[in-house]
Amino acid sequence: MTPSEWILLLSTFLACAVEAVEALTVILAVGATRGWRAPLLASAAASVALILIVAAFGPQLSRLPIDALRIVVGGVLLIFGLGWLRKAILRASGWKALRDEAALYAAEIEHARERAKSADFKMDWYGFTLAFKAVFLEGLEVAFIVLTFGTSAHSIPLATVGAVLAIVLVGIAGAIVHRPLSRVPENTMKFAVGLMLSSFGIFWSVEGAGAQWPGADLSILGIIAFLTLGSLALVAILRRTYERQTAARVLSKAE
Amino acid sequence: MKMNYIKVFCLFWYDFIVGDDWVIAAGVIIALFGISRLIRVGINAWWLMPGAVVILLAISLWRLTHKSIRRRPTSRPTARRKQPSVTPP
Repeated sequence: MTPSEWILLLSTFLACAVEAVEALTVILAVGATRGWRAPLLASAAASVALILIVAAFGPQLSRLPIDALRIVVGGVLLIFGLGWLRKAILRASGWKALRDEAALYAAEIEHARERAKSADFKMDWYGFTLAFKAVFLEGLEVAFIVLTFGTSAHSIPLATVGAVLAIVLVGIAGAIVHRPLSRVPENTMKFAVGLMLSSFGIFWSVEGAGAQWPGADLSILGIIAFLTLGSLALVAILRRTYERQTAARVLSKAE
Repeated sequence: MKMNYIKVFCLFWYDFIVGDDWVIAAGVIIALFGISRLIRVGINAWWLMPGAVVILLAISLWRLTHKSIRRRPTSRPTARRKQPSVTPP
């Protein structure tokens, strides 16, 4: 291979790995909190949809309105993420009861066994939609990267190899880290999921609206840090309010 | 009968996307509109959304907790609130 072909392979690999990690984060977040069936089925469905779209449009794919898609997917992801974050903040600050995780785990196992037996197994459409949107959007971006890098370097097959390598390696990494993730306490996990969904939602929707993030994809780390600090501050404020409320109730009962 | 299906369909999507607090959904849409307007006049307004999100979160939490205080001042505020069917547990 010539040096320019190596550069094409490496740059496609890195760019696609970034997109694959973004999709994987959402899949792991949904899987660890709501079960793996829906996100895995969603990933498969999104991959089939992407293959069909790529086969139908081919090189014309770059004419699809990706920014409009980013606004819609990012906006909805942000609204979903803030819903998770709000509930996690309420639990962490005491306003909403923390759940008995051991009892819930046992109940969940029993429930899963029951569901496996019953014929009318219900799909978790919430988890499915979250994972589908993330995989579909990121997959479309991977297709754009392959087309733009491949066309400009006159080698779409080599760009495709770089993309496939990135997706396979990120997928293997995801399979390795999914087990340790399920041992994280439930509310901590939900807090993290809320932060991740909201951060990616902010990133994609703002990018779709036409703004340029300083530091491009790296700015996601800054968004996560900012949102974490903001959420922890809200937890601290709400905890203080809750304690004040509880003290006032105790006093009024004593009187 | 047909109206009923349409209503159920619309309610499902409202509950699915907007959830139990419309303020966040409305705020996100307004912020996105604001960003696109600022970009049109040449301001790279990436900073608007992170700030707006923290403010929206604070407003939503304030609304939820104060609603609970007003509703049941002598017991645990949100312990018995009905959970929406498709929002996260």
